[in-house]
Amino acid sequence: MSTHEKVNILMVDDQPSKLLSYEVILSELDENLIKAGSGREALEHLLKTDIAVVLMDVSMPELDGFELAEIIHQHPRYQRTAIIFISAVHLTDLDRLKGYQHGAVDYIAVPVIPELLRAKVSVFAELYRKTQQLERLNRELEQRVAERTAELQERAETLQQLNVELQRRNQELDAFTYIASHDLKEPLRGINNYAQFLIEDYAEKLDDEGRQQLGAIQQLIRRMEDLLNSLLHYSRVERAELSQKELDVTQVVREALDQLQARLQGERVQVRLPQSLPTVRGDRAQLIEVFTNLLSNALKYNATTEKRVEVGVQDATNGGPPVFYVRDNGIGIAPEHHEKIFEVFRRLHARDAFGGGTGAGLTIVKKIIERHGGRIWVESTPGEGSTFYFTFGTGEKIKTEE
Amino acid sequence: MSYGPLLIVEDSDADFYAMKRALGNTLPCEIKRCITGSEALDYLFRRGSYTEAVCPPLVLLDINLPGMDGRAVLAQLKQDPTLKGIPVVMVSTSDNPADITHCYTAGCSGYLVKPLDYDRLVTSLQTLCKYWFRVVTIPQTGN
Repeated sequence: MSTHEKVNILMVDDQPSKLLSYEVILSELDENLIKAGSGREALEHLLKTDIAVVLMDVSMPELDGFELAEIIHQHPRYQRTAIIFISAVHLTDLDRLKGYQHGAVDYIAVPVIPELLRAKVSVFAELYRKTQQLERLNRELEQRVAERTAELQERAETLQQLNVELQRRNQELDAFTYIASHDLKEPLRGINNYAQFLIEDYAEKLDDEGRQQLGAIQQLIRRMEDLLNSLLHYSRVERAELSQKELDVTQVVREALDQLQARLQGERVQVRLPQSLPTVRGDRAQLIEVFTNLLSNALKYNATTEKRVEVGVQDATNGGPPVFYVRDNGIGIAPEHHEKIFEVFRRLHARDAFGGGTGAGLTIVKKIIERHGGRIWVESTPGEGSTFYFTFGTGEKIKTEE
Repeated sequence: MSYGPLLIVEDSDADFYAMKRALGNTLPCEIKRCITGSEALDYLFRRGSYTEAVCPPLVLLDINLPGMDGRAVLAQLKQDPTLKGIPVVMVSTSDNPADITHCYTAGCSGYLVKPLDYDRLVTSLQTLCKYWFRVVTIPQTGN
């Protein structure tokens, strides 16, 4: 026989000779054969071991086969245990078992035909084995599903925790920037005041060099104040709630130009809008700030006598968001600086060259664009000009922050 | 008109000195300084060592104070039936719109952002005090 997992077959009969003959008949099946001389003994075996098939004589003293079958089938564990009766009695007696026919019940008439007995027991043993296998597989599968689910759940929880942590750190960082720039201003104001008082009260006791040095201190203080204000502004841009509306970008650019009017006057500047610009969803004030920053940079970093700036939108590309651009004929940016220019307080030129500034403008522009779900990048040829490209959003609807 | 002292609640010595200097002798009254929020409340509610305190015609209240901050002091003053009549002008480094709105909602009579530049501080403070002491009429306080 094949190397199958042996199952237990319980043979119940009060006559040892019969048990012996069943044993002989069934030994070929290569299963575990257990003998019981009475109903009670059979029950004891059933309590101790898993039984696949019960083979029993109907007429036994004390507990007969039908009574035993009832007891067996009442036990939840044995409801499906196959019972084969060996009986000389009438078939009608089997009706008594109808109420308990959850499990397989069969019978063999005497005289027992060995092949038939073997065949029946073999079928039930195989059925038991297959059911067991199926149950085991099911359990394994269920366990694997449970394990995988737990694993996924754990990962989701970790991710959630990381998100919470990240959010908390971001808030802390924001709060830090905000508090730092406020608290740093106070001593700075004190330094400035006392420098002023020194000039006012002791001017005549100081020589020119002393007064010059005090002037230098005050200049540095003003620079520090500019830096702190930029930092403060940057943190505010990040913290401010966005009020998202559908905005006509042409209108936004016009408002930005209005704000820059003072600078546009008195210089030879040509600002072109070759086509009307589409609408986007965004925060009006922040979008205007993007354009005032980019436009003022376009004019600032421009040494030509005929300054030209063009604001436009690229042809729509396969469903993506509209790509706006601000192009100038200014001094341009070397390729190695294309990323650096977006870093906070990063300036590429001497402190007072090109009208000075703290170097926070492009950082703020980038922050605003990122808050709107978009991105910004630059293409530039030094000496010929720069073009800043940017989008607001990914082309899908931006979710409105609450 | 005689007034009680102008109350300045300011923890920073440098800032208090600058304010005092900026006002010079332009005030029709003396200046009383409190360093913390709870000291200011003791003074105004005449508690502790301040049982003889004279009610100020105007309070200049710094927002950033150690312990109880200026917002909390303002809230307590505006809850008191007698003291809520005293005009309180907030003085702060913060020009944060949220701070400004908060203080006006809580009942302050003005909000002065401390300028970095001393000359601007002089102009601001002198204009402010001219307004409260010479332009508008405020309740007679003091004994």
